[in-house]
Formats: sequence, C-alpha cells, structure tokens
Amino acid sequence: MSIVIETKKLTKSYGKSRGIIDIDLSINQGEIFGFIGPNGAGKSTTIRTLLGLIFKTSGEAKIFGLDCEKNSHEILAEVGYLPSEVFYYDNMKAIDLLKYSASFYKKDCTKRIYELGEVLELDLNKKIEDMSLGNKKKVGIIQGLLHSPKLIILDEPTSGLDPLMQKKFFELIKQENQKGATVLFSSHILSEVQKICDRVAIIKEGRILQVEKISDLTSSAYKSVYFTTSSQITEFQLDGALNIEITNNSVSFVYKGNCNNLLQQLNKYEITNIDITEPSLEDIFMHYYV
Amino acid sequence: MNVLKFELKSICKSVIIWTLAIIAFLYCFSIGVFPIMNENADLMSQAVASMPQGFAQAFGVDMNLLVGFEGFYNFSFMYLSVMGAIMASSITINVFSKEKRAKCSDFIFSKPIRRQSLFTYKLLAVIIALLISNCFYIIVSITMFSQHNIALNEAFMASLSLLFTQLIFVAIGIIISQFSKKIRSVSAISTMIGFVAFAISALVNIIEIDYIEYLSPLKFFEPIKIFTDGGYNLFFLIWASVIILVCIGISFVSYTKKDTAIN
Repeated sequence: MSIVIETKKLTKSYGKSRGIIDIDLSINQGEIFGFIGPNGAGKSTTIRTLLGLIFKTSGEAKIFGLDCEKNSHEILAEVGYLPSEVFYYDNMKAIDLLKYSASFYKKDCTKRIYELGEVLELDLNKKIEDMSLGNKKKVGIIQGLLHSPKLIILDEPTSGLDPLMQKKFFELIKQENQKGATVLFSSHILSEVQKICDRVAIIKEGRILQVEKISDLTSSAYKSVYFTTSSQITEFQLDGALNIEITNNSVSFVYKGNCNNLLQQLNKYEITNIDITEPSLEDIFMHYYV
Repeated sequence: MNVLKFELKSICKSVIIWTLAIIAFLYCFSIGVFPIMNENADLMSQAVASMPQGFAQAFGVDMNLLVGFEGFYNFSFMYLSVMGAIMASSITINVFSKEKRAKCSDFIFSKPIRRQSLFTYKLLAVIIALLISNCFYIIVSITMFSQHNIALNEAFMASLSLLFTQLIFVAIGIIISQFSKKIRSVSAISTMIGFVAFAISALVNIIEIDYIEYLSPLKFFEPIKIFTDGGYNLFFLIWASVIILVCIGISFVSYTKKDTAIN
C-alpha cells in the first residue's frame, strides 16, 4: 500500500508563537484519516503546510512522494481541498465560480459539477454572496470534488451543514473513497471522525499525541467504568484509569489495561452499583486535552 | 490562460469607463477649451497674472506654453495623467488584491498553478488592458495633434506619455496590494494615490529644488519634452524603469514566498 501523505518532523512556527512541532504523519492510499484536536491545536496549520499555502519552518512534507513546496502545483492537480471557512469572489454565481475552479484541471468537469449540485440540492445559478453559510459550504464541497481528486483534504467540513446534508456529505466522501480517493479529515467533533475514519491522529498544542485505529480505540481495550459505593470515596487510583471523576460515593473513569487488575481494585470497595460499558471516543480522548 | 481571461473579464467594465472618460476629457479640452484659450490669450494672460504667486504654477498654467497646442496638451496632460494614474492603480489593485479582499486566497492558491504564473497572468491582464485602452487614447490623441499640423512621430511619442506614466502606477498599485494588510475600497485607495501624485506634482511645480522632479511620477514623461528636447529625459526614463522593476520585483518575491493569511 503506497503512502499518500508523509511528514517527518514537520514544524511551522509563526515567529515566537507556536504553530506545529515535529509532526510525523503517514497516511496510506485509500485511507480515511481523521485529524482531531481542539481549536488552535494545529490542524489547519498542518493542512495549510501540506497544501503549500504556508511554508514550513523545518522538516519534510510529501504528498504522492512529491515535496509539498517544490512540487505543489503537480500535487494540487490531484488534491481537492475544502477549507473550514468558505469565501469566494464577490458578485459571482456559483456556476461561474465552479467553472473557473474546473478550468485549472485538465479535464472536463461540467457533468460532475451538475451531478454534485443535484446531490447537494444547490441552486448553481444563484450568486454566492446571497447564499446561506450552508449553501456556501456546498459550493466549497463541489469545488473540492469536481475534478475527482485522488486526495481529498477536508478542514472542519461540516460546519454550517444541517444533519441531513451532513449525512449526504459523508455518503459522498465514502463514495469518493470507494473510488480510490484518500481522505484527510480534520475535525474537533469526535463522533464525525468515529463515523467515517479508519485511523485518527490526535493533535494537541502543535504536537501529535497519538495515532490510532478507530477500531482499536473503540474496541474492548477501553472500558467506561462507573460504580457507586455504600460509603463516601475521597480517593481512587488505578494504573490505566483515565479521566477519574469522584462525586460523593460514585466514581467514573475510562480504563485501559488488564481487567483482572480492575476487578481487584474494585473488590476493595463495598459496591452498590456498577456499570462497565464501551466508552465513547469523547471519553477516550478527554484525557489528552486535560 | 484561464486566469488571464478571468482577470481581464473582471476589469473590462472599469477599463471601458476609464478609457471613455479619459478620451472624453482629451476631446473636450482639445476641441472645446483650447480654441477659446488660444483666441483669448491676452485675457488669459491677465487672468493668470492676477492669480496669487505660485497658484498658476502649481496648476501647470504657463501662458508662454499655452498658446500652442503642444503646450496646451502638456497642460491637459497634468490632469489626464491624474486620471490615468487613478485608472492604472485602480485596475491593478483590483486585480492584485482580489483574493485578499474576498478572503479567498486559499481558493486560488490551492489550485494547480504556480504562484509565479498567477502573478504573471495578473500583471499581463493589467498590461493588456492598459495597452488596449491606450490604443484608443493614442488614436484620438494623434487625431487632435493632426489638426494642428504636428508631426506624426512627435504626436505618437507625446501620446505615449500616458501609458508610460500609467506603468509606474501599475507598479505602485502592485506593491500596495501586496503589502497592505487590508484593502477595504479599491476606488478610495486609487483616488488617494491619484490625488497624492497630483499634489506632489503641483508642489514640484512651485518648489525650485534640484532633482525634486524625481519625486513626481506625473512629471517623468511630460509630453512637452518631446517637442522641446526631441524625446523623453533619459534619466527620468531610467528612474521610472528602476521604480517599476523594484516595485514589481519585491512584490513578485513576496507573492511567491509569503504565507497565505488565515481568513
């Protein structure tokens, strides 16, 4: 399986302020890769560096094996990008903007523009400035997909889309992925990532904290534990327990580790009720952000 | 080529309006004002003499020159060049700050085109627009000169002054577009550029200091020099070329190397 995106110690600093530090990523062809972190963590900076919109301070960034700065125009011919905020030229109809966008690619994209317009229920003859945020986002989605790119980079793509349209959007992305497109999907909404991605990188304060398979994260390796005791608890400690919350006589936490150790620890208490379930991604990730 | 077409289309209307305005101004001055001034030269001299000292100088009124069409054309050029300067800076800033104003730099820079090519096509669009505009201007201007039995080559050279002057303002427009953090109104900035240029030109007319004319782009290619010196001042030509090359060169490097701002 060939690598589509590869970064090695990719760093971008804005003078004294932090951008991204030593980002190591490796995204395989055909993957839907999630990129998750809170606002200001460095998701957009990483994406913008990959696209050659900003220039790295140090490190290496490659797409399709080509250098993101030296070969950006060759790379961009096969990349579709949807920025988090969509802005386009004033006084332009959606169809004119999309045709202008299509004119940069060496293929006829007219049929695809109308196809996507129909799927997303967008009036292509309307002026973009008169459109709602959601419809502007649809224009962005079409301009990102109209040339059937091999790599789709989505930066917080669903903001402004209603739930029904979000569903259609995810279906579209899955279809493109089934046709062979690799997807880099940045979001701070974990459920979105969980819904669509194969693997996920967690970024915090400019650094990648972890890269894991979604299936591993949500598998039995993690457990969400909640129990109550007959007496008040003041302290609870257990190796592998994350996000420990103690309220009077109840304790909740996410656990990753040997189940026997967990049971041994729980045995020390006079338990009145216990609940051990699959944790949500939110529960798993919270400890990275606290 | 798609960028070139797109940019030309976006400035087409503005170029047509400005070209018509400049030609109309030239026509009205040459056909309407010049014969009156020429016929009433004595009265005009008296009126000019009664003006405060420096006032007539500032506005380019020199009765010794105004009696002939060459001198009158030079006088008109002071105002034509202001219009030309506003036009050139307006279309340049429009083209070069388009993405910055619409906050859509991400859109254009994520397309498969080199930034060098984008810059070149934008510059080409501005130059083509000015060349087309000046073709019409030169035809009308030469027609005006021909009515006063002025040699075609001199008339052509004098008419070219507008294009050369505009090229300086293209360079100024590019550097302003590239280095301004925000451009709210293209027309406000370009009008300001035109008026500042006019004010400098008026000031240079009054103040008699060596080399001060080098600060006034509107005076680099005064048409009168074609008729009095037989051609443009070589030093002004070199100085104008340096300004153009430096402004465009710095802007080009910045355009190709600068991080795209986050909206």
